[in-house]
Amino acid sequence: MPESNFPFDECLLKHFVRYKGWLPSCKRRLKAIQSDPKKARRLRYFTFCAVGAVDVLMLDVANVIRRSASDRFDTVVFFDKSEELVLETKKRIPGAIGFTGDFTDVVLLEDPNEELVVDSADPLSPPADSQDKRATRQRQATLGMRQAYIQEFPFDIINLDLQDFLFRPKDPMPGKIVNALRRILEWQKRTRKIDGKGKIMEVDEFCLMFTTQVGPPVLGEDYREMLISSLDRNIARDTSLGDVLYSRTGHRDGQSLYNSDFAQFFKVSVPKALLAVLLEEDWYADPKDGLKLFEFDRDFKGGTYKMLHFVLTVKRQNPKKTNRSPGVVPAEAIDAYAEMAKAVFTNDAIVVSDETIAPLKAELEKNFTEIKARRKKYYPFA
Amino acid sequence: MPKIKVHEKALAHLSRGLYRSPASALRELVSNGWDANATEVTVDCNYPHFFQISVQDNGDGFVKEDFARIMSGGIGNSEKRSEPHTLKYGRAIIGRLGIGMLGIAQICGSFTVISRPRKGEGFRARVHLYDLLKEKLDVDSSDIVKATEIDVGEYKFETFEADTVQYGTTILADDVHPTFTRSFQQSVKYEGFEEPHLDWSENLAIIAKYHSLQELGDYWRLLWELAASTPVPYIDETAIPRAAIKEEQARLLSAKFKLAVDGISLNKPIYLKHNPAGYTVVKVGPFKSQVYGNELAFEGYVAVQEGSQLRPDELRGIMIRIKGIGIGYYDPSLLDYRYNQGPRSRWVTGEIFVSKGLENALNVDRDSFNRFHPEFRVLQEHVHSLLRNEVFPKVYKNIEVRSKARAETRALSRTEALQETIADITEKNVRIGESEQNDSAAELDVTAISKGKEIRVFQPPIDLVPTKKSNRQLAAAILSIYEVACLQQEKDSQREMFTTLLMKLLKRW
Repeated sequence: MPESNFPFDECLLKHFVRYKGWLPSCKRRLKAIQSDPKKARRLRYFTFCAVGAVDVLMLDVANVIRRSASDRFDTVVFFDKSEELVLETKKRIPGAIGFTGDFTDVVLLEDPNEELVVDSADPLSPPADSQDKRATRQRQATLGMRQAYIQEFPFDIINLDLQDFLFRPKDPMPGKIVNALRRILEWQKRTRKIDGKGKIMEVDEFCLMFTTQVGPPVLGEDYREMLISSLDRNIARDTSLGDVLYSRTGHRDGQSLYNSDFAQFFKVSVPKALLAVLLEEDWYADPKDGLKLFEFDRDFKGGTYKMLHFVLTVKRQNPKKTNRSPGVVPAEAIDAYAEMAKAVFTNDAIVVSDETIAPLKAELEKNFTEIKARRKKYYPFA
Repeated sequence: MPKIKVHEKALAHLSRGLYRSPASALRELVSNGWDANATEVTVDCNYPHFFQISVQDNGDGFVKEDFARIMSGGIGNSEKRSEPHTLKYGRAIIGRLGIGMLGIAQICGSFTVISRPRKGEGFRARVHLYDLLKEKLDVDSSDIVKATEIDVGEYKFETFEADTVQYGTTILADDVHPTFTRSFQQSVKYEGFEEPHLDWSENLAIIAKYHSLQELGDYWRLLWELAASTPVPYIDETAIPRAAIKEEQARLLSAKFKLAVDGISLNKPIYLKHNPAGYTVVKVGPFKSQVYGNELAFEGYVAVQEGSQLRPDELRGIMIRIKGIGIGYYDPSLLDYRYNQGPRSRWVTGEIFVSKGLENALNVDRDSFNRFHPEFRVLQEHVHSLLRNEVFPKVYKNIEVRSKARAETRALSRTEALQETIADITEKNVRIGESEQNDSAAELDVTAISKGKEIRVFQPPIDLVPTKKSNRQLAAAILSIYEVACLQQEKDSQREMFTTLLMKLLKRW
């Protein structure tokens, strides 16, 4: 079985994030979508679950994800890099829908007629003007897969548990992942038939979980400038934020924070950048549930690196962009943005360490055992 | 004398057009898993999107040298491996490693083979098959057609990390042809599509609701065809009544072979139960004979679902299995049975398990037989004789019994209908009996007598009513209600009573 390098199945620190960060948010989301009996349905979940599918099985154990009448995890959609990894994952969560490829490449594939492709054109139909060659077939397949992926939207939970840097030095601004996130936020506005009964679902609120590695240690100049000026703009707009930042970090502006404490700078500036992207894409982060931020150091072959996990509830702006005058953002969304931005300045991340998890260790291990038993039930050969 | 040769082009053509359905191509890969002593073969079609297909087994795997040998000339060679290879669990060799591997060429243009043998060096290889091969062969394109060899593609070995791979062989087809993907996507998207259950027995219940697999679409057909043609066990040994597959099921179970497709663990797609009129089952053989010096041995069964069409239609007919592998599917012509049995032929299913011989009668697609091969003819004659002399005579006898029983039930219910009609209208108890009519009487003896709160009606024996058989009971009933109506004093009352009784009777008839 092809495996990723990191033992996700065994790391209790990571499982603490799943158990205390992801699980409560997913439960809350399920409760929300089940609250109206007429609209009640199963929860739709997108993830980068990796072969062990720990997150999916945790939600299965907690009865948050429910399988179809035909016993499938058909509301779970995941991405992985290779066919082998997708294949192995599907054995552990039967009936889940797996896509193969580089996630950002697939999402960002240039497609001038995207709307047409998704809703009417069929990229898999035989082309009239190209021969049946590998290049033609691959183009068809990639477009077809992308179309199929888009048609899976919207989701109630989007778990972008990426192991990568958010801002890769070679990516032009604003970076592939941010661009991919923008596309996803656009596709979240789609409607979808569910349960084959003609019921239509639309999502005006979902849970976004986002993971990134802190770094790279030296940010590209473009990214650095963008993040620093964004922080400084916030401080200029609301001077109390400068005080908050000072009391938390000992710095009053973005540049000096960047120079002296990159990790702190990253923890403040990145969530803020995320909030800004949401606002631009006709969504906003709901301050009611706030922003949960977890960090932990992960030992790896080459040393230690720091992971950041964000969990937040995202709401659609009301009225929708299509029903508003151009350039107008609803006051509710602006207020929420300001409140959340302040929370980002104020609240530090929960540092997940052996000490933090000690009181919960037995509970986490028990949950792990249940997850493994569930996995064995679906795939006895695991 | 000059030798007659076959041009390699013919073989190259075969590498791209051997199988009539995706299931047939996949069946060859499943057979390779069986031959590799795998206890589990997993097929993943990337349901519901179908962009990739993979076949993975946990068998013995094969070594790098064998793969290279197959790719550079062993394709289609029935010789399996360089090392002597013994099959476990009482299995017989059924597949053809090389041709089986290339069978997938009908679905995709490139694929990856990963194999980790328990002995020897494993490998990971990427195989690319040439585009437009057939077109190039037709014009003798110099880049592929050489003096004595035809290149159909190329391969390269990739980095192989044995520790990250399970024992056995995996074939991953990623360059799946868009037409395949599209067809299968469409087959699971149409309105009314029923999603297959992960429990195969639930799926059999779904399939049994449809007349034909055509109504269920390509994906269901793929599942069904793989279940029908591969050596997987039946749901249980009672899947066919009268213990017809008890021994075969024991053989299949002892072979310890499982096949799962997209998480669905397959069993044979037949389960004959709950037919109201029951089943007639006739055992075939065991039969043994020498045909041109070659041994032919088979046994099996023919089962008839009395009075009711088999569902789906694809279960109708006779399937021949050689060493457990289905050759084609159920043959609805009953191996070209020449007697027209009308709708009764839709009740018949059967399997012939060939343990010796008949392989020479196989056509190259391994999905059909040369019908004029002497071994096939011997089997065919045996089955036809059985159908003619045992199966259908029993079926006709059963039809007669059922018809008689049905007629009796119908007669009884119609008598009750007459009784209830008269009772409802007259508000009296009604008794219906037989009059003492004899054959020579000129008139029918039908009488109605009213006595207190009771009306007694006497009808002649039904066979003596002089009209066609199907109308006799109705005629007697009408005459009876006429007599009952005549019990009224006034003509108008008689007319009114007769009309009311007639209308009520016909409503109940």
